[in-house]
Amino acid sequence: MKRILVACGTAIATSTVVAKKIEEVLGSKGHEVFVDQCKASEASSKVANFDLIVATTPVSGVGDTPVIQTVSFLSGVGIDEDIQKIMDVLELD
Amino acid sequence: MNFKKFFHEDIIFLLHAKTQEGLFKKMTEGMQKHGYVKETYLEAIKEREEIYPTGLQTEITGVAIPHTDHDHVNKEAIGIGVLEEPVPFKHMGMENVEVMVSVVFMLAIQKPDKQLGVLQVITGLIQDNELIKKIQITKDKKEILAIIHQYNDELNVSN
Repeated sequence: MKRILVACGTAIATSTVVAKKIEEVLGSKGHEVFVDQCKASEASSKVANFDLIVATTPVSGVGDTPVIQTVSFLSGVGIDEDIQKIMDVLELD
Repeated sequence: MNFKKFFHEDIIFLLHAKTQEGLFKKMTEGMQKHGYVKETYLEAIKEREEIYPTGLQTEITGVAIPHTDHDHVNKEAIGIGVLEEPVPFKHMGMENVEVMVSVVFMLAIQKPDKQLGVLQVITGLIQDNELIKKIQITKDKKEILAIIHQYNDELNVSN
């Protein structure tokens, strides 16, 4: 199963919503993924086990792991494009 | 799901502010006065907003969702601020991008893992252009609360 790490500033509110939304949308397309969340500052130490990072704020020190930085899941602007990006990176159809 | 308990007429603010700081001050004072947040909430919100801004450009307007650690919260609630004139916020996740914010949802919540429902509702509200427009246009706190309650009821019907 593909693994996505969602990072936001303090992991108080936004990453929770983003994580759930990604899970739901990919789920509705028949893709079961594992989604976990963390603070942006924790991303570098957690990244090893993940295929992709989706972040609402810049993250650093994550090596070769692809990062999609976006706030679309909160603002509603550009969600479809970002879902496509996520599916492309994870090579899901 | 019923999230009506998060919204109260006494923490809906129709206000005029020139700056983000002025806006935060007015809203947090009201929320503190009614016992929802602690004295430390204002500083905590300001600090967090500086490092991790919460301004969001939606399809039709600018919205912000300032929030901070639950240590600064007494009673869970969501304050709503509707500004006469928009004030500049830094945009979430984008360096050097500003957004003119007209509607603010100030979150005073407990641990997020227990709050997913209400957070999803807030995101739903933000992304509902018609509803945000209605909140912006009306100059009546009762009406705003009624709009939110109606949204709540519709969600429950569709679920």
